[in-house]
Amino acid sequence: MSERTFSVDLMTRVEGEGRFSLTVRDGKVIDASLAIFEAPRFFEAFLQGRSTHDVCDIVARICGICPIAYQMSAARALESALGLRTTPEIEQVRRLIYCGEWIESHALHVFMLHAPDFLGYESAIEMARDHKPLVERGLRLKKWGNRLIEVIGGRPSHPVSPRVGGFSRAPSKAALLAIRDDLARGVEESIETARWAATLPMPDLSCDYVFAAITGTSDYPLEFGTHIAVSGRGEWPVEQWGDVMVERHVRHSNALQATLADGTPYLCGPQARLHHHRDKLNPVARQLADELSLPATVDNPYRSIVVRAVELTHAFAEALAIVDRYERPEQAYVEGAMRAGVGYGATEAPRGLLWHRYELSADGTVAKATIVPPTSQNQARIEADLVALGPSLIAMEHKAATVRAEQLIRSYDPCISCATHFLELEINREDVP
Amino acid sequence: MRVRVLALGTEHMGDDRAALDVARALGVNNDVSILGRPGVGLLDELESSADDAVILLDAVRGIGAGSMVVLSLDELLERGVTGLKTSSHELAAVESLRLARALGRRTPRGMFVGIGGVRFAPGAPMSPEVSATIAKAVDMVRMIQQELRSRSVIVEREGKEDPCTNMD
Repeated sequence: MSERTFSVDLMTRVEGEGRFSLTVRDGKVIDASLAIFEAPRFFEAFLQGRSTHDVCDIVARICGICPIAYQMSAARALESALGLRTTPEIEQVRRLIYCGEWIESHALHVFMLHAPDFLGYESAIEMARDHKPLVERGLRLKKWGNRLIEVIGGRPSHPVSPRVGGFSRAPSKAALLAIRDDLARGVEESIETARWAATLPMPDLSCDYVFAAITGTSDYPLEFGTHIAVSGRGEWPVEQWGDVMVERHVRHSNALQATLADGTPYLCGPQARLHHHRDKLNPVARQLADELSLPATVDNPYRSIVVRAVELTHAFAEALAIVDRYERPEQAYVEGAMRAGVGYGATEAPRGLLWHRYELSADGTVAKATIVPPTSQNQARIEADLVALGPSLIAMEHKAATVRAEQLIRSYDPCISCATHFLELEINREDVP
Repeated sequence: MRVRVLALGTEHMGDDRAALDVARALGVNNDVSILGRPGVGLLDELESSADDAVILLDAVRGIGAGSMVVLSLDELLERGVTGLKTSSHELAAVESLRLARALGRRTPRGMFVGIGGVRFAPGAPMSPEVSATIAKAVDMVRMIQQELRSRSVIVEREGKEDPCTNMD
């Protein structure tokens, strides 16, 4: 009998620390685990006893890359609990600022975090020496996304204008027109990005995914959805997330892992959105997907870089269309009386489904909060993919195996701050003949 | 020559707030900015200051709590990875500088002032040693500001280059 253990330590990043371990016996993977040692942050506990109107500012601090996703899921849930209905004009502003977040997040991941894997560099800094135009494009696209967020939200990260009921202030038409040219250039440059991404050499891996994404509107899902679609299973109202999915502790990780209720891992994020909603992409992005022969179902996780690039085009094109038809809302927000209740909200963060639930007391303070981020939902699926990858790792040299495993994990754009190159590989060869 | 002070750090993570407190004590204005954790956004800040001098302030690991380290930006690039560990924004200053240089972007001349910290957990209070160092750091930054300005005057008068690489 021969047994080899691969272990991959995730280290050096303050917000996240973990370990990937893979054990293979007689050529078969018998164990694979991805441990994420997120430092406890207690945000759900922080929210208890706080005013409804504090929530959007607090949850924005959960993530520096996707604060708007947290704000929007929270606002949805709280409005649901309070029985508030916003106006279509407010919803357009929400979609617009969310486009800004997708742009800055996807640009950062495609160019700065994931591209070095495909091009054989240890980091974007190394890559910049040989691929200056590529890196400059990534920085430029990211900046345009942040600028859009700043115009609406008051600052480029952790925006301050989103609130329950809408925004404390809606942007003027003139302020948005001032960045229109950047958005138009963004459409063109993101198309070039997707064409470039489609030429990258893709490691061969095919996974049998269950895809989960929000649904229920005629638009490609972003800032709103009434239901959660699970491929091959059906659709459920957002309120029933807890009936369909379960979170559980696993011994090897401080982060909760979510699976379907029957224990099946599922995937959320760009591939899941594309699977359920390819036909709802903005026409510019849909045409691009057609040109690239990108199917609705992408079962190779490495190819997510292409899907993410197409979503980058979608976000730029959507933002441009909204700016062109924009009229400043007469009401930037709606208000209502505080009351006891329970509310649910789900939106599509750049890296996947983000679900919130709040219980409110009669005075509108938060009695209980539950937040389920996309990375914890994808964690079990990442482990399943590592199992699928295992046999090919064993046949590879140590360094190449490390890079391949890192590249796979980065395909999910895990929301562990500074997720670049966080893995070290140790191979226990004691039992190798 | 304008001398900009750029403070990096996080408000509620113990000693990671040190640079922000120094900036506040100096008085935030057009020349003193609290950038927090700008990530790659620091590249644009540096490029927009390419004709100025900058003083980058940040908390660092690897030196004692409340100790200070003063380096030229070139020295920071040389020593940033092996000699110093910065706080939760993960060598943002070093990596941004390095990326800017790799891209051939213009970067400002200037200095880095690091304040040694040991507590970087979310919600942690600032270490007493770091709190006690804030006033000294403010004095240090003021001295460097003055030095950079006066050297700039000398450089302009005598036509010398790079006034910021021999501060020690």
